[in-house]
Amino acid sequence: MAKIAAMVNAAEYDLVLLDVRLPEGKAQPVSKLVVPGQVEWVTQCIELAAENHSGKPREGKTSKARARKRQPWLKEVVYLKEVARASEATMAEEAPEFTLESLDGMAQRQDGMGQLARVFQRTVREAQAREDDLRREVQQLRIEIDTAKRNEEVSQITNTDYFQSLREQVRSLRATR
Amino acid sequence: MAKIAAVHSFRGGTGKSNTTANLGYLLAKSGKRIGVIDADIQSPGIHVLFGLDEAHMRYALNDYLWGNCEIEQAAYDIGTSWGNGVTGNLHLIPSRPNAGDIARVLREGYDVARLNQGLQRLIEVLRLDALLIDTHPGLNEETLLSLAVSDTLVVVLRADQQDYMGTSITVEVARKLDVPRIALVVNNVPPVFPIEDVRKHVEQAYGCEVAAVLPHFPELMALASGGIFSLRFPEHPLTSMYRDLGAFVL
Repeated sequence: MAKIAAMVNAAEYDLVLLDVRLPEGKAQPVSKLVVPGQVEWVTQCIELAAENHSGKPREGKTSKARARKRQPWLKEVVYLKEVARASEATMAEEAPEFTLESLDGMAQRQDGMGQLARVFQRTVREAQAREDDLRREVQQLRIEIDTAKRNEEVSQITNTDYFQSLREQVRSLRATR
Repeated sequence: MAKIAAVHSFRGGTGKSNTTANLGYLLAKSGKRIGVIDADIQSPGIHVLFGLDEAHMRYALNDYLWGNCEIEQAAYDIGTSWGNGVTGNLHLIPSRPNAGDIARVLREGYDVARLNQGLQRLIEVLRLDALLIDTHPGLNEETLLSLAVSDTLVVVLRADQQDYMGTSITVEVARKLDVPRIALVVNNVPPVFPIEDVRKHVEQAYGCEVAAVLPHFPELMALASGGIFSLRFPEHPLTSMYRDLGAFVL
């Protein structure tokens, strides 16, 4: 039991279907959960991680009803896992190892999750394109000054009587300081 | 000898007053005796950053220039009102946002000798290590005066096509006024621009020193003139850049 617990803890499984005491070499479909009915076994499983168990003899109708009930629940687990992945992607977006393509599979989905993944991919692609444009502009950061025009504007200021007299005053002020 | 530094920009909205206020605050905090003078009579505002209420301005630079008071009467000691145990020796000489005074300065201008006398007297009376002048943008006569009396001119510009020509005109005019030291501060640089690249380009284009390249930080925008950035964010990288700029100016 401890071995199983270690395995369960080490790996990130969505769901563990545990077939306890299955005769060796006799694999059975996983839908047939088999626990030999002892109370302490079931208790231990539940304490470890188990959500449910089914005993023997199998109650045909109950078991089918259970399976039906489990189906949406399983779907939800998968869905939540995808949400977690999408949210991790949002956070990892700035990390260099993140690739948008890692969300391609999710983007194929026909539900809200798929739409979320597609919108996220599109938004990030647009933002990256904008950033690339800006980076290209940086390489072209040139400060071009029309010197002829500049000199003309400068002389419009410096050729005034005010400027000339200011310049004279400043020269004498600086000399006396 | 005390240093007089004018902080100027050809266009408004470059962060000139914010830069001046942060320089003044950090230099004062480091133990220097600092004066900050708002020479932008047409659109004064640095007193807002320092939290000086207009209602408490008995006299302002305008009053001194019109001969209504001595310059030191228009100086407000604001080095003790920062809270959190932060102190320093900082005096602010504000301008009064007053329509009549704006009209008068536009009509009559003011006298270079009187401004210069005032600055020298402030330095003497308040025993200042440095006097920072927050100028009016553009190159009108009053601004030329501020440039003319300065030892150092710091021109603030953005990495923006709109600022390039005006900055170039300012630098040339300052050279003709024999301003001993002219340096540029490129402010609010978008993060996509590599700092060293900007520095190199600007240095080449203007042939003068680049004292600082300050990146855009949303925190500064968010503060929205609600105070002095370096006081609010003492550990921020921008504060450390302002500190280096202060050392450069002095």
